[in-house]
Amino acid sequence: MKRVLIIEDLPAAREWLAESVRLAFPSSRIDMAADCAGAKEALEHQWPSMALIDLGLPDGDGTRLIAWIKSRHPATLCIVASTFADDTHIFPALRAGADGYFTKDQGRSELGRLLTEIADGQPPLSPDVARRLMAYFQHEDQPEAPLSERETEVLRLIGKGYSSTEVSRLLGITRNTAAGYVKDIYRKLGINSRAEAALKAAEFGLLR
Amino acid sequence: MKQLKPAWQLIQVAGPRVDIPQLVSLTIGRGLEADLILTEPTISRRHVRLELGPEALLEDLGGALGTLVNGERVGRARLAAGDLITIGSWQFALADGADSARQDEEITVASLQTSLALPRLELLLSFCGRINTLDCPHEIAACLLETACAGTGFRRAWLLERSEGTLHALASLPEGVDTAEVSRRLLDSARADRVACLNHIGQAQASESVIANRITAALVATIAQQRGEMLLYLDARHEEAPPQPDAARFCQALVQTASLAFARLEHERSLWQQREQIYQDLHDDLGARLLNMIYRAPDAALADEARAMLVDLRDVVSRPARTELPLDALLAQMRSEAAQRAEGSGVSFEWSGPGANSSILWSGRAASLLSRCLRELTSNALKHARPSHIEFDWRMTASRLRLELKHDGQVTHPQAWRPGRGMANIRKRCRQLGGSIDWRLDGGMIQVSLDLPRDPPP
Repeated sequence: MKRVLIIEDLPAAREWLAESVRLAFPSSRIDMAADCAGAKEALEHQWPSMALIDLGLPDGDGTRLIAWIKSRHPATLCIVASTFADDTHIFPALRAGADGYFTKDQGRSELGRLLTEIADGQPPLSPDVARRLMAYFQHEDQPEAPLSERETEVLRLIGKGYSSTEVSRLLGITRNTAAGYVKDIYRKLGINSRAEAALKAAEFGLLR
Repeated sequence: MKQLKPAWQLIQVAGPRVDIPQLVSLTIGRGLEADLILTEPTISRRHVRLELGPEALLEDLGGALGTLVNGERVGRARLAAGDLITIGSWQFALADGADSARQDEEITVASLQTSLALPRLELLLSFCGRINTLDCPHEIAACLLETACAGTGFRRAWLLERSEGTLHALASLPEGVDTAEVSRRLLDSARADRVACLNHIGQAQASESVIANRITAALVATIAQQRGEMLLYLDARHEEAPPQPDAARFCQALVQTASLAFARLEHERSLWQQREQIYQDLHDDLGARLLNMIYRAPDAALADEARAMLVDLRDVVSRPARTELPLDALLAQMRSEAAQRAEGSGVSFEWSGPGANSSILWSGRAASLLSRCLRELTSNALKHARPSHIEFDWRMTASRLRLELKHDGQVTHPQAWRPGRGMANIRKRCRQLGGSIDWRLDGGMIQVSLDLPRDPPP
């Protein structure tokens, strides 16, 4: 990671995240912003390779910021830094294009490891979010990018509370492969929500 | 030739009284060859055809005016009991044959007014049922306008909002007519003294006033809202809707019912807002402070304690007491959390689930009680015994949910445990769930037995 942008209003958390980033990517350059305005200012100079984004920013919603970044520079990894990681707030962020999420209460070394994993394409997934993803893909009539059998199986196991280590053991695959499935599911969620958004826009006559 | 009796019955709702022949196949139009003759210049000679066999089918025969079913213009349609068919000034409701005998009797003994009121009562009932399932103001408004037109014979309807002296249209039927047009019509009607402001007329006199004042072109009924006032305005240019003695009362009933539905939405919205506000406050305030505690903790144990508090807080915040959670989803959350903690402490972990399915629902409160119990039990095991192995064995019967939690490590007899392990708290939570808990030492292992009702009180 060359440049990492941390968008977080709580000073202690900002510092904690910066230390974790330093552990994970020692040679990276770290920029920090305390709100959406500060983030947009920093983004005007240069696109970071990774952005850690708090959802409840004082001047706006982190989810919108993620959509904003992803629509302009999809290569930037957007990762949600959450206090509670409850699915009602995480799911919209994932649909807006977030590449992963973590809770801020973890130790620096755990956080560092998590960030490296997300950067390597191994995002974590909680059972709640897995269940919501499952329901989302099952209830959509014709998903533009439907889930494969293996991806569905991975989601089902995570939705039952199995850790990624257990999932890979049960399916007889490596942890990396299992994590790769999760990454693909994230990606497909992004594709499908964009298609859905376009459809809605067309319905409302926003597109010509 | 034998004429079959129709399986459906047409009941006249509006328009000059006509006799409806009892035919299975019925042509309606202005021409003399029609089975049912409606004399109005805008109606075609052969206007519409009805087949009232086992299925009721309607075919518009292509006049300029068209045929409306429940307010919508149709070419061909399969009809159902309760459908309202509008042809010019006339309106007919379709009832199925089984009901018609009884209705026939009532029509013969009761006055004409009753025969008009009956289909409207049906409309009103179906309206009440429908709007309570809608959760968007726009849908409620559309449903209100549709029903108002169907029940009164008016062709155009608006739901208007009046605030600070200006009117603007919230919804219109047909859709897309602008506010300026409405204001003009409303003014015209008012100048001609043909607007009935039902809130200014006593309930008992409402019908008479509307008839006496020859108010055939416009009706206004009001909904008092927190933010202002809503008006239901029906317009019938060229007097296309003949006066109906109970149209005004019907609209009043619609509007009062709709106002309840709007109030319900408003209430739900404010509850949701309150919840979000509490969430925000807890998140920003307590959450931030706990995070600070974790970051500044001098040792791992204090950090872990603050972390557990944060997770407890998350449980309370993200699980509103009234939201229900399937038991299998709750078990998955608990499994994932326990597995992660065991993995993080290098403890081998085993979990055999009870095979719950999504149909067993736990209230948010019960779910929160159980997951906090389990979190505390896991903390105690990891912190005090430093085990090498921990296992969770769940069993479920038709009425009970049981857990046997076993772990090894540096274990002592539970009776010798000093307070501070949160046992009293855990006991209390089990009692609140209507269950019990028991600790014992068995062959160098601590065994915790948790016995809960499968469907705890909410």
